[in-house]
Amino acid sequence: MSKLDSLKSIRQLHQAYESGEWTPTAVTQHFLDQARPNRLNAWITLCEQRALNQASLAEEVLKLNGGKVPRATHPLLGVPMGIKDNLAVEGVRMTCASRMLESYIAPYSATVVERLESAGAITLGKLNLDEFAMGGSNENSAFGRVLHPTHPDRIPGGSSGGSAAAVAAGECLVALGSDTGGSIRLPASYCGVFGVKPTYGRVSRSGLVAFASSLDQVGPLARSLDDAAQVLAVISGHDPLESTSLGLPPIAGMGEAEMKGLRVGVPQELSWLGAAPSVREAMESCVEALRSAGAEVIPVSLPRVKHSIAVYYVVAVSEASSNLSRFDGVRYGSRSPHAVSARSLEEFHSVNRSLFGAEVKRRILLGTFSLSSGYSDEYFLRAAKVRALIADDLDSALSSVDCILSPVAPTPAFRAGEKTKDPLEMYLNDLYTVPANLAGIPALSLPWSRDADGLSIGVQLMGRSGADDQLLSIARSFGRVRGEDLV
Amino acid sequence: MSLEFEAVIGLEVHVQLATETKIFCACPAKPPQGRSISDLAPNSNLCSVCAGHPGTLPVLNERVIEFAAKAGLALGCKINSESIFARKNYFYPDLPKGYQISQYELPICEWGSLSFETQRGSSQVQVRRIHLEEDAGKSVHEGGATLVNLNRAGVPLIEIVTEPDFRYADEAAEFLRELHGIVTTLGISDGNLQEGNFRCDSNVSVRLKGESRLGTRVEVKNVNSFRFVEKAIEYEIARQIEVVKSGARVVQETRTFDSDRGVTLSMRSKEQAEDYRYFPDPDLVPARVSTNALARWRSELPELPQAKRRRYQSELGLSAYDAGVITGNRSIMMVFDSAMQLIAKQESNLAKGIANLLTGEVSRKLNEESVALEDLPITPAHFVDLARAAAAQVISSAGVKQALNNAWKTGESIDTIIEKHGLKQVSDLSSLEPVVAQVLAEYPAQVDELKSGKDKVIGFLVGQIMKRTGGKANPALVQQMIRKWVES
Amino acid sequence: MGASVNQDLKSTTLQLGTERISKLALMSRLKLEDHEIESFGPQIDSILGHVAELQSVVVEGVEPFLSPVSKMAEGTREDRPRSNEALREGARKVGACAPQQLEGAFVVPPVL
Repeated sequence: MSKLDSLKSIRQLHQAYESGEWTPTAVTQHFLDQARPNRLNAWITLCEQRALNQASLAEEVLKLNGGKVPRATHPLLGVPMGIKDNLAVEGVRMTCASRMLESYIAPYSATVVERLESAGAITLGKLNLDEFAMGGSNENSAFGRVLHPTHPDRIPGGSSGGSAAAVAAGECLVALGSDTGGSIRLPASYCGVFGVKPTYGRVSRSGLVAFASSLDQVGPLARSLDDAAQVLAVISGHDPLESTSLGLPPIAGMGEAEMKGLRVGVPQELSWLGAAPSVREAMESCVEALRSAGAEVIPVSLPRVKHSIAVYYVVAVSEASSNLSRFDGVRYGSRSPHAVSARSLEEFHSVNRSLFGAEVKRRILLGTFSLSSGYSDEYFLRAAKVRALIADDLDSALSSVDCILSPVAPTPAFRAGEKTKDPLEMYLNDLYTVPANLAGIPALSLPWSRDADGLSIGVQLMGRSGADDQLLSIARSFGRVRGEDLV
Repeated sequence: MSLEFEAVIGLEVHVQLATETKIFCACPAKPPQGRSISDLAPNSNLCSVCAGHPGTLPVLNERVIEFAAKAGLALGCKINSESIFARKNYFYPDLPKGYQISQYELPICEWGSLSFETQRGSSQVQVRRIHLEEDAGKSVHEGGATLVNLNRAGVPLIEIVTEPDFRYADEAAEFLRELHGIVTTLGISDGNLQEGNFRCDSNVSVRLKGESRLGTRVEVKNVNSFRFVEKAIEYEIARQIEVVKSGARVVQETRTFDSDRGVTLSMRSKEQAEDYRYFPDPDLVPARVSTNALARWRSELPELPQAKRRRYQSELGLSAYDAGVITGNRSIMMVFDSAMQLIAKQESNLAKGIANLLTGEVSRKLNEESVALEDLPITPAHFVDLARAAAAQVISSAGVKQALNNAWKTGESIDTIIEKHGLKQVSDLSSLEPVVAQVLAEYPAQVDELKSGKDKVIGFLVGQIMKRTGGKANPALVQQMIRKWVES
Repeated sequence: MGASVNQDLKSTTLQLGTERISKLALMSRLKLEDHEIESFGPQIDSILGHVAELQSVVVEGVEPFLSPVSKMAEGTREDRPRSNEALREGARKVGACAPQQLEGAFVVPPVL
């Protein structure tokens, strides 16, 4: 089935199913064959039998529908997907890339997974990530780092590194990731794929292992914008199992914005002046292309956005420190071998929780500090207030422009080990992506160009809260302007 | 208590709400068929949400807002149109998420009050706040191990916090009785003390009379009987006074009450000064109370115990004692109120008789048999009929008891029971006179004793007459007849 | 150890020190090795140093932003229990995850 290597989109896949050129089983088998060697260490668990069962079911559906894909009920029929391993799939191991959950079998499925599978998608397996989604390079996994798809000595980005790498390398067609401070967009940019973080509340968080509850969102990674949009449309929608879920109007995701007269805001606070030369070049070429196509590129001001990293590393770690308290080895999860010799309940808990990796421990300590008596006003409360100011800045700017343009990262994919000496250095890498999470607005990463080494550089678009459809349509016209056929 | 010192007491009452489901998930909060959560097999009443599994999220049960608001309305509180859930972070095996979802800075109700009667007259205490929270599971220590049962985890509670307005232990106990009557009357809680559905923490401190600063506060946790609360507080006050008198300082700590020995004991817990790191729960949105909903709930409030007691006394002639007992027990109160619906205005004298039955024989049997009045075949109509029969002297007081016991078991109508068991007493003078005459003739010695003032012997004579009439004679009337005879 | 207050009133740089880290570790129920305490200290200080810039932001009269949806989301459900069958199934699945159970109860082994 060598032609399967040329598979680039869901539309192409469905055409092939309908023409009979490929079958769901053959396609599934192909992707499982690609994934099994785990060349990039992108996969933590493969669900081979389960996936093949799903493929058989997909074939039944096709047969019952006269060989046609019933797009209305099964828009993702027979689409092979990878699921980030912090999203629950019932009966399948979910590790969150942590020794803490090494053997944990999820007792229920995340709402997004249920929706995907009802739409006919095939879950190939669970994708590697930074432990509990904490990291920007996928070097924090207890199951080993993920390799960059084309440059193995480099990192794919994080925390959804496995998702981005697997999609880029053709080990699955689309993937789900999660984004708290850039964890979909960053790896998408480094690996040269599309990554979308929806408006907060659009996509259910039920079944996503919480990192920072007011920032986390689930989103798609794909090689085409169409595919990302289709997946997003399927997983979106109000979920009664989540209190913070919104009932936003559904996404169609197929429109294309008019480039002429499009107002694109460029904030000096998110400027690329301090970024790597290749990133500067990419951004300049993007701006030039936009102008040539008739868009207005307008400077906007986001005066407090420069505090985003500081706010994030108080708010996110505070919420995380509390969210991770449930991991104590009592009702589920691993127990440390030292737990049997604990001399008190405190010690029992502490010894089990030493199974967390260093980055997770660091963030828990920081979060506990920020919430602790005597400090919570100055740290947590103050950060939450500055967050309000950042959200206001973005809101104001977006009332005068259609979208905001910035880099995704200051550099292309860097080398493994380059930023692990000083956590703060890794944190500062999130400066472009974090603001969208703080404000809850939709943002995406769109592959723009490659540098001299062939490393991908993405551009980031941020849109108004709730206007995910519009953002996707703007991204589509960016893609057209970029000059490559995006399908 | 010494004349130099006064006690300052505040209460925190945890009331379990009688909703169908837990506060943040759809697990039952009320097991079927009147069983209690403690009867269920361990960890059979839970789901991945209340067990705190990764990726799970809380969703608020709308009914708890209603129940908490009603409690607030009954206590005259301000009901906040938006109130915020906060996480109280600490580690314990029966706390699945490692935090309890509660309310901290902005609770659902604030600043109400409750008036109630004490032996010193009327008292009024301010209610500082009422907030919503989830219950934890239960952990039991056995053979050194800790066994955790999460059936109860996530059951909804309101915590009612008073200002430190109490000065006496008995005052605190009276407040609790009144509060208990209110929450059960409202129907927001079954108030079952044995099950721990109404638990009280007392904050006790002492200071010199006239001193405005508060002394060091000690918390006595989780006492679930009004009598024990009173005893625990009394003990604690005395203990603290002794400590202060001896020149030492009262240690700020948490204590438990040993009801067998009647003393409070220090908890050997190291978590004395726990930093809960409260912050608003990002998984929840504020609990909202609309003006419409509030108005509707206000109109749905039933007559509360205090108003009811006043009415029982002024309109129905009940004693304060009977009024108190009836309003203190929801089942009994509902039966009484229903019975009142069945009697005519001119029959209001029956109220006392019905009240007597309920506060006397019925209360006794309920305690003895551990049953719920609602589950028995006896109905308010039965009580009305019993009271009518007694008032008309159709049956004697012994007959009333027998008929009650029967109706309790069978639910047969009082008329049927009276017929079946021949309970009708004979009150007809012409049939009784011969029997009385005969007995008095047969026992001249006892008659003489009676004449000479030994009143006790009348019981024997009445008894003889009862025997010869097969128990059917009206004993009160017979007694009258004997006395008349003897006097003449 | 303890706080060192910068002479510049606009920023207070906190240095936590090993005792403080140990206390935070206890509060968080994390058992840290000595080498972890030693390396985490300066790393956390460095992060807090960056965070200190927040102290220079004017926040008077600003309401804290706690969630993007606090004003919008509905967030309640009907008081209706799940079916007995669903309850049984759910409880069974949860029980299956437990490392140690005794007659259904989750067990924390005896502490010495």
